[in-house]
Amino acid sequence: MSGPSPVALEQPDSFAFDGAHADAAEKAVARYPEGRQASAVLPLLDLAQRQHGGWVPRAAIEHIAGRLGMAKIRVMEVATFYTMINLAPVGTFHLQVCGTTPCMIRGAGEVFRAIRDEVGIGPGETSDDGQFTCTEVECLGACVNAPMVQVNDDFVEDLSYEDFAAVLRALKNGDDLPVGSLAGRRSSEPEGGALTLLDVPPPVRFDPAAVYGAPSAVAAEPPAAEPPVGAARPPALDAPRGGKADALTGIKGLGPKIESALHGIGIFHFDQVAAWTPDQRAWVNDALKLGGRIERDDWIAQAAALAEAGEGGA
Amino acid sequence: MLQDRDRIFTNLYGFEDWGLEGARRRGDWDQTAWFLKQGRAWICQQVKESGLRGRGGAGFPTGLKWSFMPPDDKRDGRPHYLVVNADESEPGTCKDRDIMRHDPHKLIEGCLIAGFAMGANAAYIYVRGEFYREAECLQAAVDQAYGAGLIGRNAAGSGWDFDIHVHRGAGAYICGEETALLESLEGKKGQPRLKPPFPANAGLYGCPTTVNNVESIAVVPTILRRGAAWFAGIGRDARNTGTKLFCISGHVNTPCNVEEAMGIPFRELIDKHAGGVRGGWDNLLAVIPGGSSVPCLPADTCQDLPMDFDTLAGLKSGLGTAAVIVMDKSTDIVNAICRLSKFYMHESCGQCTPCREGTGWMWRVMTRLVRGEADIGEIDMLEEVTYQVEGHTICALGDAAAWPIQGLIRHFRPELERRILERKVAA
Repeated sequence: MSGPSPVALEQPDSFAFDGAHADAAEKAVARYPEGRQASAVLPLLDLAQRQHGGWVPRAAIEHIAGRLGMAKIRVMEVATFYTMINLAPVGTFHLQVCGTTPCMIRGAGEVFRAIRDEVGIGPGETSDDGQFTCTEVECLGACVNAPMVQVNDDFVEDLSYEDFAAVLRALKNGDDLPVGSLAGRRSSEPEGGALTLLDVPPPVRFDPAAVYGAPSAVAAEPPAAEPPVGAARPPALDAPRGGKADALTGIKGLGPKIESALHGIGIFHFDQVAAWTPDQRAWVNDALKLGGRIERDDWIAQAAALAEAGEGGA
Repeated sequence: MLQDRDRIFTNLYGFEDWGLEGARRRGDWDQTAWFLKQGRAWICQQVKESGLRGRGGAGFPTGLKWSFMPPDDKRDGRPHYLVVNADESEPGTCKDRDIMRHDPHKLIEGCLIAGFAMGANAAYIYVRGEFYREAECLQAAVDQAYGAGLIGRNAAGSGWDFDIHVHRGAGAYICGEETALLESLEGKKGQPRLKPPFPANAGLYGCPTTVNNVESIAVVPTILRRGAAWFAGIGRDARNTGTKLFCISGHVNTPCNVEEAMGIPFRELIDKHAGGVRGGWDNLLAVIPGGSSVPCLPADTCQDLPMDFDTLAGLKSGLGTAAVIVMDKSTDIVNAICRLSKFYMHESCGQCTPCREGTGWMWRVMTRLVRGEADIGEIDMLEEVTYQVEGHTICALGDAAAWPIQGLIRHFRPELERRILERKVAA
């Protein structure tokens, strides 16, 4: 688990959403059904953090709790669970360096070194002037542009020691953050230029008759469900082992009718059911028209437990 | 190699307009209502026939998953929901990001079709909080779709009402687990739920819900437009069909995302698209073929390896999200896996003891193994503990923490032993 969140000792007395943030908060709450306003807790915490300069004070947590009809501790619980919610001030530029393996093996260490050399801080530290906070974060989902750093809302990618040191110097000088790849890539295409999507023909206008035959044929009832492509019939037995089948009705959601149908496809024992792969489950579901009850009632786990318990005389 | 004419994400890299006009030029939103007029069962059947398996990692058949939602004659008055999992956080994976920022209308149109197929009038797209710009772009595309009448009341002239809401998370890998995502969406900590009940019975707000990955939803409009047989005809066999977005990271000359045919051999994928292994093919040490959760494979297994669900599962690894992390011989493989252990420790939600305690314990032992500060017997002890964690937790994060270590011990045990022995000799 991630460690405890640092909480600021100095706290403002009150908090309320202002102009644009109040409008955005209203819109956020309206996205969820009546009575489900608690769903807006993350959007509101995010808005509070943006309004309050990068962290969420206690007064905002209380304000949001009141607004959404939640206990204060429930909002606090959420605020401490998610890593993007800061409960103490962070620097003007929050340098969130991805340290997970795909970035690590492409030189995330060099990025940390650049931050240490230019700003004098390491992970978990804020510079004395309050300009920079450095945090080592887990995978940020830009792995083909590794190593990378998220600076506030933007990703800076394809970094080297020199390039990121230059970025930091630029930020110190008040220059804009260069966003995206620093290696000249548009996005996730290979460096040097895309090798695919160079010769995309214009799309063929969709013609139902051409793809699906005459319109009348399509409007008719869908054909009886065939086992889907990719489905596979599970291994069958000709007869129960030792002449005695398990009482498959011991599986919740499996009645005598389905049991006899299962016998019909050579399934007599819990361990057979427990061994079904997803595709075999798909096949059985379709063949016996089970309407998804294998997954819904989790036959696999039930059967495994029953097989292990030796129920049904197996 | 897949031809451009068979690629679905024709603006993967963002060189063209991501907006509605650009999307229409790429063939999106072309007679969408026609598909809805064929009915829920028809859409599910087409998706089943295409062989599409979930692109979020588990590879469960998508059409089958949709068919678990209560059919029209069994509705009990509760609303149905489609929830799109855009909490892309599996280390190595960065494909959904490109869909959201460069081809968002494919996802939006897919939401309408998939939502209708499961009887839902609303979709929530849960985007990881760090993807702020991607969520901005997706929201702008949603606004465009509302403005053009493609979603909202009588969406795209289909007679079906359909709302799409973009919801941002706030930094928690576990929210990519579908029930943790639902908890988070309801305004709680992202801690997974016990199943059953499955989301198709009781998901978001206790209502029937299906959670699908971004890519799974975004490919559906094209599958329907070109026909299930087209999609099913790509790929190595009938169980591993279609095109797939691969994310190639690590020690290749030119890391990139690329859409390729399911089952493309590993070396072809790397050589054609990513400039080959850094330092040449013989410099390859190991590959993590499907995102950090799947066990690594050593170089000698990789050359002709078809990159698909069943082949990789057969090698006790997995296609996962098709995030291919390549490691050359300069890699400290023990440290690379150790860093993943740290990741899982950090991301464990703390709900189940085997994971909460086990991930930290495994990481601490791994840090010693990196330096060789251990006894040989501890390798077996570590392996034993991974099997105590695996399968004994509510969600698969415990499994995901165990598997990389199991892969390391399975394939690189001599390296672990070498470090221990060298340290002993030096002492």
